[in-house]
Amino acid sequence: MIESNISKPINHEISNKKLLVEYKKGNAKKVFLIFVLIAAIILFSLFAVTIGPLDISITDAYHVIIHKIFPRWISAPTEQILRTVWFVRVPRLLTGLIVGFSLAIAGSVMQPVLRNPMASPYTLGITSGAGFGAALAIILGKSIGNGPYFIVANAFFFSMLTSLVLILLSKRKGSSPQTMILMGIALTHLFNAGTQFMQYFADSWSTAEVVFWMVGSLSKGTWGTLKFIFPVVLVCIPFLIIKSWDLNSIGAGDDAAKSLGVNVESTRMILMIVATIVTSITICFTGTIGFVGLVAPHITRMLIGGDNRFVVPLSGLVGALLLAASDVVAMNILSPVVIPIGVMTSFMGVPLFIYLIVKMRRSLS
Amino acid sequence: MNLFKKYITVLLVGVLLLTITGCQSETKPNEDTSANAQDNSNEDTSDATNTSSDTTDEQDSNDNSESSITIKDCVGRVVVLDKEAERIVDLTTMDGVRTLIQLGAQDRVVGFNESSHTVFNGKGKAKKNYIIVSQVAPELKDLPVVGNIKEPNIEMIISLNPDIILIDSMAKNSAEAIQNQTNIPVVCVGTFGSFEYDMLDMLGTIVGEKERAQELIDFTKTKLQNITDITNNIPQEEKKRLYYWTHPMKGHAPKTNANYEAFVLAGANNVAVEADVIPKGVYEITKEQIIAWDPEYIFIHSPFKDDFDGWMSADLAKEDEVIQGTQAVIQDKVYPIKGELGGWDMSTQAAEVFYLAKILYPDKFEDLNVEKEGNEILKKYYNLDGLFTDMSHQIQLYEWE
Repeated sequence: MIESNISKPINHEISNKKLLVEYKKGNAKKVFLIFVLIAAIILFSLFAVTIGPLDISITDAYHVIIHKIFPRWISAPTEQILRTVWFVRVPRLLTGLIVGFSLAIAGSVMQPVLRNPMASPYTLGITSGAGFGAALAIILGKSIGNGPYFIVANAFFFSMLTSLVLILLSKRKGSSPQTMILMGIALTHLFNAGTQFMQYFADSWSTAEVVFWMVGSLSKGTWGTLKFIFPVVLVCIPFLIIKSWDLNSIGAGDDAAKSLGVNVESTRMILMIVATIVTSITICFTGTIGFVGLVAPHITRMLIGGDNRFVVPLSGLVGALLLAASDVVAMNILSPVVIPIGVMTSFMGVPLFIYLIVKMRRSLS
Repeated sequence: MNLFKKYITVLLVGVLLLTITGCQSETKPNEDTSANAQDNSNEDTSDATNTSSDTTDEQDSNDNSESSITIKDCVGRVVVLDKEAERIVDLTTMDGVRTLIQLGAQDRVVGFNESSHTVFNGKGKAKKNYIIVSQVAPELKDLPVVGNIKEPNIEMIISLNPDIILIDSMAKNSAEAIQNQTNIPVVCVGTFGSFEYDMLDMLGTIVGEKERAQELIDFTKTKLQNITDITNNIPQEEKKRLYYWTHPMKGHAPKTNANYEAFVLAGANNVAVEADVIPKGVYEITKEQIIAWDPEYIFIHSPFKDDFDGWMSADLAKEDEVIQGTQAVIQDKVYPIKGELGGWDMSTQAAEVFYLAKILYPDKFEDLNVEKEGNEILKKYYNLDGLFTDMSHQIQLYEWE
């Protein structure tokens, strides 16, 4: 009896040590995966800048990039190659990576904040709001912006307006994350109805133009658009990654989070505001890209589990790779026709997603 | 089991890829797209043909009284009318009402769709549309509106008691439904950027203006022959290569369209046709593709008056930093062109064949007076002087000294 009483604390200690070792092993695996994905993105980028409709050798493509970074080291091959690589391929690739990264991170934050696996910028109505703004500019010619930002400004304004309505409604007493999701679904339908109403009266070219906007395109990604997107992403994304530590506490339940010193209400609100800003600034330039924000976080969770400290940054990397790779396929599979990026992302991501679901169910059983 | 799931996933990807590549191989790159479009539409609807009966044209003619009219519409449906149409409802986006105006039968139109109403009344954004018929037949602005093809106002249509209903060929699948609901013959019309003489002839037959239709057809063919007699003799490899930048929205991906017969008649190689793609409609490309095509000429779709918000002009296109290295920009050969808006106008298309020929082959058409020819063509169709001059000024087409 005495022996057994003595032996219990010893077993606990061993088991805690084991757990710690396992935990460290798990973290090391996740950090390793981050490096693998970063390496994959770099390798993919080096490949992506070498392919396109114009026949440019690998050496020439890299010469251009090195020339632009270190102008004194090396000269650009020709003006035409320089324009193609530097003004078309590189900004398009960077746009794909940044937008994919941002949308996936926004989705990975929204899902635990709202405690709903279906939460994403798309299901919350933010992209529908942007689409309504774009349709308003295209069909009725009404916009708060002008020139090249005629459609962009409207899309941004209405996506932010949607977010604002969502946040204000969720601040009402008695509101829950579920209320926010329901509000998002309601707003999605409202804005979709508004867009369809305008399309109903629109002439054929305006309707076609709205459809082109709705299916998304990375063609709008230029150095000019990156000047708008990049600073916002640079500020917001590190913030979301740092705050993702609190997501684990929130995920354990509001009471548990409060007991750990997390201000649940304000954290939830701040994370939602920042995630929607990131979403709005990206989709107003690219159009609706709905799939990445929803699925990239789930793919990540299937790979590494639910620790949000890792899920958030890894989702970003998965989203970046998924969107940029989809765009390369979209541009080249039916060249010169460019398949809409929203369509191609689903074509490429859904089989992978289904495979992972099937695999996960098998391992669970 | 694991292997089976992998196969399923690979199979899914394979099916998707096959679907995509299957679309690509539907047409050959060098096919005449306009003829192809007509053939395809006829084939597609062969099963849906004979809407009024399942008999052939000959049988139809025999079965009806002497005053009855049997026609084959633009998608190959056989439609039998009791008599010439005195009252017409037009649900097309301008193609129907435009052709009736050209035939001098605008007084037969008793109702049209919402987009036509917007154009004729110059409402909102439509103020900047350059569509000739709105100034040729302004009296149509007060016509009753009968909805649109997506949601036709069936009760209103029936109350107008029309003899026929015109709808766009693209909406051919709605023809039977509307016909069954209203018990009024439905006729599909549409040009898709080609010279659809059959459509002119068919509507001429329907309204009893066959002679006028034939007069326009003969006139257009004779006029165009002045150009094609020269351009047909240009060897294929010497034909100028052009890129048609359609729907050029500022900051958006460039788009193009392989279906504009005016380019073919003017002796040009439209680079969009060279690509082995689905032939119909507008499609998106990358700016790098323009560099890869390296066209000698770029034509910017410009159907609007003045500066239109969000729409890129030819002058702005010339400043696009990405395409600076193309032959067209280097040699300052970027021009506006009217193209389509509210459907395709065969009269402006004929005038643009002259406009294009002179731009593409200035040596061969040195003495060609585009403005004079354009005005003559448009006068023949609309019986008004100076229409091409007006259009040229309003949408800022290129003008010669």
